[in-house]
Amino acid sequence: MTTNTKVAGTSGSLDTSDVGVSSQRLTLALLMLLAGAVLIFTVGFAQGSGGVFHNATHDTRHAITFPCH
Amino acid sequence: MISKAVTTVLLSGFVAGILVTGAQMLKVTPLILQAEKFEVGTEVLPHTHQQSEITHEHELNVVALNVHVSMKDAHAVEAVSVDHSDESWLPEDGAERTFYTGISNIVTGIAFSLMLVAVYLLRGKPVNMNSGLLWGAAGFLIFSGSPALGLPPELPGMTAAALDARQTWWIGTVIATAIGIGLLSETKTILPKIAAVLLMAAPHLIGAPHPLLFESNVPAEISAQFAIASLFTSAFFWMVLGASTGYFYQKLVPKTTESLTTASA
Repeated sequence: MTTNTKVAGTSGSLDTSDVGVSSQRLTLALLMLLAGAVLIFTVGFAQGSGGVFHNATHDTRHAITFPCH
Repeated sequence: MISKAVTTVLLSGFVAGILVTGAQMLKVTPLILQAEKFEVGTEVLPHTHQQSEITHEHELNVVALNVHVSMKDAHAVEAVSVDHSDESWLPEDGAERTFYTGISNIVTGIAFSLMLVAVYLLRGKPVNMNSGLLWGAAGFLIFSGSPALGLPPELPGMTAAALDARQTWWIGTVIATAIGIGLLSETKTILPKIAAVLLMAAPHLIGAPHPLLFESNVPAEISAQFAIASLFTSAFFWMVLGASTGYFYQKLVPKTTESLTTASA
């Protein structure tokens, strides 16, 4: 296990794919944050035409302490 | 890795969304339905006051409320779209309403799971069910706890400041608390930690927007019950989210947690 940890912790000098993985991880994480924010906006804030989003998500907004009315 | 991280998000969001829908039906939803009986009057303020027994105190409130209403005129369009009595689509009470609440709970679960898994990926350290629970607790503080300190969970029918102002304060508080918790957990020296505490306190020092005068048709007893019930429901939601994202992340996303995989293998 200790040897494995060392390999995993080695910087990109030995294993170039390590850098690839970490930049892929970073991109994925940022995309996820963005997607999460868009979804939170839709569920928590968007009204939609005629309040469609508001009405469908109404009880969720009240239950998870979003400002609603 | 991408598909496994996405699977982690979807599974956790689904599990948490379903469970919280059940939890919500115990106390939160009945209280919302109870409060909505009072809400009908609140949305047409002048009529409420004509119908109710007008006392001197009430007359004073009407004056203050009119000031409040005129301040909200700028948001008149929104007020109309929010009005439940217009002809816009509304899910019917009962199964249909529960169905849409379930769907939006699952979407919310997925949204929050995206945030949690993004944090796991950014940190690149092993996560399991127990550490996931801690991140869930952080999520609760960020998205429910800290905002609720300024804007307690509202029931339909309660008077509040303009929606725009409250949403802006809410978003600001969430961002400040998130950065604060990030600084607290990821830095080792004292200065960033002090900055973190100041950042987390800032929204509360500035203060949440509130109406000039609180007036609610909803009995205070119901409002108080609701505030506690919805905070507990959110806490439960975040516990499930934290534990399940941690669990599935450990099982499914091995590349970032190499040492852990060998330990569990």
